[in-house]
Amino acid sequence: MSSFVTRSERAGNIFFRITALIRSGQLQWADRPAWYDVYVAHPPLTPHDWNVQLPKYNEPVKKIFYEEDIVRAQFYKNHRNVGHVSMDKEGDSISQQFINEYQALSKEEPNLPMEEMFAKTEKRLEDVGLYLRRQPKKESTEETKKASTEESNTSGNQ
Amino acid sequence: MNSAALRSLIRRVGASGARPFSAKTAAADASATTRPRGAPSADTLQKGSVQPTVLRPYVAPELETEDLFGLHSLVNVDEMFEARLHYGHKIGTLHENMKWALYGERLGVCIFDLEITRKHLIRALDFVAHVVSRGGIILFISTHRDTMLDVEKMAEEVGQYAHVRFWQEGTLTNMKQLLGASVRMPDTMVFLSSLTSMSERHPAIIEAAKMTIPTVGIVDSNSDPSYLTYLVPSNDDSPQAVAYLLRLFKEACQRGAAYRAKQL
Repeated sequence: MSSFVTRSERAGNIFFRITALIRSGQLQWADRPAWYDVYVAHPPLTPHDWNVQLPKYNEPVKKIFYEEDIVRAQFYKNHRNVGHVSMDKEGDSISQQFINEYQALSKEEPNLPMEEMFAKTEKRLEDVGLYLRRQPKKESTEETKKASTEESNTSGNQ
Repeated sequence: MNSAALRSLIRRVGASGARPFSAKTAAADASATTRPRGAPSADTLQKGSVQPTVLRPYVAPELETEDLFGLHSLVNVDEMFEARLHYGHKIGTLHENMKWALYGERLGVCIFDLEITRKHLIRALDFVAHVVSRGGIILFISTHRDTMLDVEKMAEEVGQYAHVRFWQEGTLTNMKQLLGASVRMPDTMVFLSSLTSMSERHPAIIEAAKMTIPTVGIVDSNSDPSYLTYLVPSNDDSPQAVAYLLRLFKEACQRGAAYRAKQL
């Protein structure tokens, strides 16, 4: 079989070339390859010519975002270090627990502003026993900076 | 339905005048019961070269059975998700011809639509099982160092073949020179990773296309699917994903071989 077939793989896909051999009489119908019948009954779901452009070619890819991503982003802004996420462990991560609590709260009190919602959710988690360390606030960091510079100044003078 | 019953049905429909029994439906019924014998005509072949399903009446009847090997229920989205089949590569490496298989991009990482993957995986498994049931040889090919031994072991277990080492140019196209004898070529090649470690297309893909050997390719989001016959869009880098796919292909090979043993 392979002695007849054209080896220029761009001339047509494999099925086209074998069918062409049968059509032209170079290959007898009875001598067709073993995969030929299977291909006829279960053809590929996508065209497979070498230069075919499959659907969505040159189209932008959809970005996947969820509504709770806003809460998640804000959560990680407030709490940078909440520990590692173990992919083997069953159950929700800390951020997911926070989001679950946040969503439950937003159903109970839909009119609260976001900042209050965050404070309330944190309080609720603390009640259950999940303490979240907050990032130090900017004002306090400036104060500490000031204090530290004053200290260094005084130490420099001495 | 026997001919007497058919005739009475025609009479009944004709008498009530609800729906005339058209010649078209009669022809469809006839083709379902009587299969044409011998080779298809040149005209049918010409149509078939574009639309392969036209040739269905001419191939073996057991091929018409949907899900002959019971493989469809083996593939489910939950297990695929557990096996991490949905992870693609970074969005910057995405191949234009792989966008059809994506669900979207999550924070810069391509995510496959597992419903699409499932459909294509079932089709590929059916193809492999049928080829094995007709006495075909399957060659499993991979370039992944992490999983090469698993691929070899699995191929040996089902009595098929594997090639996971360096691909010598001309292994298929210049076989007689390289091997010193005429060797039977594989009937189907399964690429468990379609790229080499240099992120280039595996050289065996072109050689298979030249020798008209159908190929089943696991294509990741950065792979080039051209020249591959059956595509399975999926993660091909995680050991878990490869183990899952190997398990399914093993099952397909075993069921095909068992069917063949029963027929012979």
